[in-house]
Amino acid sequence: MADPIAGEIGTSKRAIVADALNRLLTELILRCLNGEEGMRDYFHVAVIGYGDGRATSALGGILLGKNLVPIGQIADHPLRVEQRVRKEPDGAGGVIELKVDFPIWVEPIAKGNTPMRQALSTARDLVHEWVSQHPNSYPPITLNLTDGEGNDGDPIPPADELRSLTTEDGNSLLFNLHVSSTSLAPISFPDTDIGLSDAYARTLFGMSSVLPPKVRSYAAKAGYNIREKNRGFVYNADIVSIVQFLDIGTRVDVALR
Amino acid sequence: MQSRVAVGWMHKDGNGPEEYEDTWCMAPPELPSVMVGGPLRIAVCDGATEGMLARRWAQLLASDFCNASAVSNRNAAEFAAAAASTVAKWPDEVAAYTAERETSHRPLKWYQRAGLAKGAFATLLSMQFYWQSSGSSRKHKARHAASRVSRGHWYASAVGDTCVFQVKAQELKCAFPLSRAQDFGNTPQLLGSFNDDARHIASLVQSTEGSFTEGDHFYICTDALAAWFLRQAVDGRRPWNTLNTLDVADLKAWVQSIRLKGEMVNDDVTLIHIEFW
Repeated sequence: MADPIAGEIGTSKRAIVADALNRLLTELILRCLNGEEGMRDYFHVAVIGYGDGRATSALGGILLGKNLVPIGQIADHPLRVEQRVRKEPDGAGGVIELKVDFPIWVEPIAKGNTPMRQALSTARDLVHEWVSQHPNSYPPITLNLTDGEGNDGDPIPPADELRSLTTEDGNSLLFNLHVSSTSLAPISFPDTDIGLSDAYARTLFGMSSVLPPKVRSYAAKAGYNIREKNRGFVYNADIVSIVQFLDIGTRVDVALR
Repeated sequence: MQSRVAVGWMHKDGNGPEEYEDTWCMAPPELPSVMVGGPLRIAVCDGATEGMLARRWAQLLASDFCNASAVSNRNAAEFAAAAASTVAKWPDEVAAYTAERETSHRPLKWYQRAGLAKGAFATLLSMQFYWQSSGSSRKHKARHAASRVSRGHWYASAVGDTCVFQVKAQELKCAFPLSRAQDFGNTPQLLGSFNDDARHIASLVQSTEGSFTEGDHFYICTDALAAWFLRQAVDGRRPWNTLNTLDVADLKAWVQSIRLKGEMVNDDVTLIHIEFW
């Protein structure tokens, strides 16, 4: 299933998911820049791919088959670094094109089934192992980026189990990005599923964690319409901003970037 | 009137001392343990955790503000102009760092290039103290005591949450720029190494001034210590008396103990204690 996403003719949904995942990893890495050498392992990351009928580590190269990997190793071992063009305001009302590095860890794969239940079960097992070994850590966050409905059974039970795992700092979080080719307007961090006419989007909304207070405050500061029960759910929109809502230390306000 | 200045610091737990990203600068640079007559200029910066070369940026800012002309940061416009001139030096710093990497056969990686493109960020508190020497002879002191208390004047400008507290006669007379513990967070105002927009910088700056006399104490604290100080002060516990008893070695052990008790967040800590007598 390689149909184009609404409004982005020519770009397959799977390519969009892969791009979102690669940008997510890039932003996560850039949040960890620090000091003279430029990298601290604030995060360990596992990337589980489930686009080809299986749910296994999607990392390649020398990280092939690895599950939780320190972020520094992810940074040092993309499959390749592409050059892409980014348009930015030139400060005089125009636009300039900048060439930027775009590292690739995950390629779009347009084949097979979508075993989301299996993928969430794998994530649950990894999170369970992590919280057992690191009971004082920040609660793990699982970001589920999908372009289609799971077709290996009900994903809700493993999602519920995943969110019920805790560290001393609170519950493990599950956020979902749904890329769809329906023509619904993009939605970011809604507090209700009213307006989600896509039944599967409503399922993913229901599986998503309510944003914790600190994340809510950062999201509000970044301009999102935030109330009490906003969830970590994004529909056909940018999920990469979620990385800016993670706490590491003294952070650079979005407005100051 | 004379001053005595003591500096203590402690790096974040889990980091090495080489990763401490607060920095300070004083003028005169070879500060005597006791200083007779002013001016005394002090700049303290707290490099943001996020981003590359935060310590270099903090050092450059602190050095420039400490050594700038005497009137360079008494108001927001002058402060902003001084900051913008420091920003103008940053490309040379980045070029020097890049050259160091090339020379040592460690060329920049993709994420380091991206990090340098984002810039470095730091808070800044810049202070000046002006006072006259009151002389040291017994005759002079007697005459002085009979006339009036020796008085000085101080100025402070700040971007961010590095604070100064003035204590007079066991009372907290001034807390600047933050005066409530709940105002501290993870997103303080910061000076960015690529922000050369003087109008924008001026919008971030807060300035204040005041007078001081013999017996006054000033405590310049980066955010974790400043937040602790204000929490204690609100509870009526006179935190300055705790800080007065600490020398540099004691401060490190004391910070460790306070962190373990959960009374201070784990962050780099810097204390500059200035006493006038």
